[in-house]
Amino acid sequence: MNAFLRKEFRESVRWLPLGWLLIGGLLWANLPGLDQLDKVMELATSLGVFLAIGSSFIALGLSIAQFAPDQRSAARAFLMHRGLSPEQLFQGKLIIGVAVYAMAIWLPLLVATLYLEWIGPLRLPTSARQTIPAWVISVYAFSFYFGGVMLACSNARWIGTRVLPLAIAALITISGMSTLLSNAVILEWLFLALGAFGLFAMLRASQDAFDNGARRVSPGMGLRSHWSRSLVLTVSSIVASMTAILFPTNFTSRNEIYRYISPAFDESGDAVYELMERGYAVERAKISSDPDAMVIEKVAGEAIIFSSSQVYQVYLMSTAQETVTAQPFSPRKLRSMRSEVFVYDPKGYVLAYAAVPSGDRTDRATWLLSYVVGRDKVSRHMETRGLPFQTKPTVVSNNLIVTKEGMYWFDKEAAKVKHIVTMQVDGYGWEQIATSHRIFLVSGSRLLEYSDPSTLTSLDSLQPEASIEVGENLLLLGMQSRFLYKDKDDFTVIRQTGAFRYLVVQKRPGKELERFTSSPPKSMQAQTSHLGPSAFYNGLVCMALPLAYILISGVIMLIAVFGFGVQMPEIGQDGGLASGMIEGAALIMFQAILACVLAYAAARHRGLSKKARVGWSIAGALGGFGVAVAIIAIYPRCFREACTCCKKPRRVELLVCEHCGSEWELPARDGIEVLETPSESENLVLQ
Amino acid sequence: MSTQSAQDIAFSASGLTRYFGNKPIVQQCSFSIPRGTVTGLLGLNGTGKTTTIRMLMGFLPPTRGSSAILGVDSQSLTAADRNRIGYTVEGHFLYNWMRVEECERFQSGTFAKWNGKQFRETIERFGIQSKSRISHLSRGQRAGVSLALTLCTFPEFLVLDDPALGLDPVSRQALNETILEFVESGDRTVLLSSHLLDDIERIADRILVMVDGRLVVDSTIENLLSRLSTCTLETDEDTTQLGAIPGLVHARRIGRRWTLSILDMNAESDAALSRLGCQALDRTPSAFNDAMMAYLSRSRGSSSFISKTPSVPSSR
Repeated sequence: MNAFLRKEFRESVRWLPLGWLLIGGLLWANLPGLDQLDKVMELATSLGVFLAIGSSFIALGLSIAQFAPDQRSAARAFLMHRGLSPEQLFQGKLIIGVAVYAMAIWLPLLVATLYLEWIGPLRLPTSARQTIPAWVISVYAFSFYFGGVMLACSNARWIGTRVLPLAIAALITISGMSTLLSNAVILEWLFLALGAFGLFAMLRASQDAFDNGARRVSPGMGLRSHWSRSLVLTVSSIVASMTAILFPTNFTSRNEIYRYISPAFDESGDAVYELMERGYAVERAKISSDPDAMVIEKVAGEAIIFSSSQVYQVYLMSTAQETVTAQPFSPRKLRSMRSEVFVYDPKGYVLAYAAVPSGDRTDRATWLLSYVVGRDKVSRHMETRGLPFQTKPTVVSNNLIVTKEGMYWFDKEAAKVKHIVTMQVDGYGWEQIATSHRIFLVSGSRLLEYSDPSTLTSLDSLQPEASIEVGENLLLLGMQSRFLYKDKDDFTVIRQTGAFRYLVVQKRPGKELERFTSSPPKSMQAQTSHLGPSAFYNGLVCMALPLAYILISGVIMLIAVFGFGVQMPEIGQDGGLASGMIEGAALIMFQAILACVLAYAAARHRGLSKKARVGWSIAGALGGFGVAVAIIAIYPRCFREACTCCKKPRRVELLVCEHCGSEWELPARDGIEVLETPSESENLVLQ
Repeated sequence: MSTQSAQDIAFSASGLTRYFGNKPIVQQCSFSIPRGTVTGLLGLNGTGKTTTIRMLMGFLPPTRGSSAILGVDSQSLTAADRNRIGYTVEGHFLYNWMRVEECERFQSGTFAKWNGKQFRETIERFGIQSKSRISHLSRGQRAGVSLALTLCTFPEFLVLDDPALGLDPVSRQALNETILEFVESGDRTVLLSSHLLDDIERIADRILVMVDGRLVVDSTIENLLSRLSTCTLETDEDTTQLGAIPGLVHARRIGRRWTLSILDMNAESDAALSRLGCQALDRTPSAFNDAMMAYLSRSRGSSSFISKTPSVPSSR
């Protein structure tokens, strides 16, 4: 085995400089300089994405360099005919593949990791943690190695069938990128687990492809012995066919004028719907609880202005979502001032960096950690830091921090932190007017407004300036939400709740609180492309999505709604969405039937049994057009020859005619044969 | 067949058939090669020799039928089985970047047994330095290295796929000597595919002849030659009715003179010749070369047994 490993290493290691060049270049381009604080925020993502691309190329190239030359018949016979089993040969190649891959990718990445740990957090908010996604992704990108083995060992005539396994390799690599997503633990682990299973399936499939060489799954044998290769090719075919069908959507609606409806306030301060085109209002209707009272008024090229006094557009951020979607490995810039930047450290602290001018170049300032804010104190160094915040904090002004647990005030000079608002905060937003701040907190169905609390002298009893019960949660699906708001004396809140549904809450002096949901006039809705691009786009999407995907999504949605009480976006009863859904469902059913027929035809063409044909047809209905492609990729072509007995075309690989049951006739003899081995002695073999 | 007799069979095939696309390349070949014999596999280019060997060695799945080495199905040969079989592939594939000594290390490290002394002796016979890089070797030298690598693993069974292809006479002689030494060194079984009739005649005691993917001869050389007669006759008629002669393998015409190769010539054959108005001038047992030329010249077709000029050039 050692001799074989040495030979494999010698053959593979010569490609190593190319790998170093590629990965070294990518790391060099992505690592931040000491003056590039902003780059640190995206470091985990950019490292992950670029390493996914680089690792994929290296894994694919390495496997092709290792396996393709051995596929020539003489080379394969020379390699395989030795005192080592095919499994040992594959394992040997894999060991060397992993070793060279590790040297090409993990060595440079290790250097990058040490560099980031060395410079942070004193000079930049970096740490070795930021490279964790890159490490994970580089492991998952190794699936391209197995894809390359399958590609090299395939004898498919069409290149499209050969490269099919790369589709699932891409999918596995993307699943590894879920580490970049968020703190959404369940989904992340689900994706990672699926990716790990895919990696295992590809390992088995590539070993199967290497062991069997040109031998494909015989129509006569079950898929059980080749489950991994069949699974990989089926999933790859489905992914590839979906991608191919959806590809034209890249070219749709590029030149369309995108029209949408937006709530606003007009010059007189009344709430209106505006039909927007290229950022300008073209139509306007005053919002009213009575739909018949809304009259459309044409306006010509008027820009929407929110900066007029007492009218604000506030983006509400959900604290729950902020916590869930925060990347576990990336710092996040919370607030930036002229010479001070607040950064959220994923360990639960707010780091304040001060700019250190670098020579004459003010734009090339480097940074130095100035203090660390924890839940209980402000410290000068990370080593003496206090307790971490339990949920992701957000710095809303120079000395205010909002978390899910309330609002904190801190004083860096006195090294003090005080919990000034103690209630559960579901959402927050702020608006800066001149030098003062208005801070909005959402707690349940209440909206509270605080006016510039940083100027208050007594911080023990911080009271809201305005508090209004809006009747429902302002945060749609727990995500961020935008609402329009007028000053506290004339309180109007408009929030979009569905495709064309808006929540309007009005409180006018001397009047009772009015709360109603409203929709823009139908004629205004009809002019929008708010529901998405053209019918062509929707048609392609419906043709691409397999029925199984729709069913699984539906089940997940039902579980979310009835099991966890998730609030779903409303579907306009009178909009175009409902009719669009019916058309879409019809198209999906048509696609499922067509895919079922195609799968049956492909199975018949490959000479599969009746039971297998039915099975594949069901798979076709659920999996879409890709299943027919999978059948063609998995099974070899079926050749037939006229039966000498019944004259019907019979399959050449079967010992007896499938029509009449007759055996093959011996080739006609010319009377010149000298055969000492009687043809009847077939049973000699395998006895 | 009893277990004992199955173990006496080194290589066997039963209804071995292989299609490429919808074209049958090997058709229902059945043979069994006893242990301790040297068997020559003969056939024109494209008749399925290499395909048969690849199926026999388990590198190509048959479309139908099966083959076995010492009773083990070719498609299920284990590493332990392969340790007992020496195999040189057509064209003497070797890794070009290796030196000869590296080849030795690679081969010795991947087989259970290794005879380094024999390896050095063999490569010396071909005038090869152990430091030489494979890419710098001549074709004959590559063949020498390839053969040395195969023989030094102590194989009980040897399969050689056209080892003398493109070799000069000196290299060929060295190759033959090496194979002969191997054969004489013990109870060794060899299956040798070649176009070189002289080499086969010198080394082999059995032959398999393939014509158009069919096996037409599976016999000892002795048996074949004892049954095949060469008959010379003169006639002006350009007859195609020679096909009526029972056992006619091949008829070759030079001027007025016809040379017929007839299997199992008997009174019936004489009667057929008389009916055609031909009188045999001479009747002798066939020489090996003539016998093989007769079979190899034959291809399927209506008058495949007739050639008016020698269709196969001399192997010398």
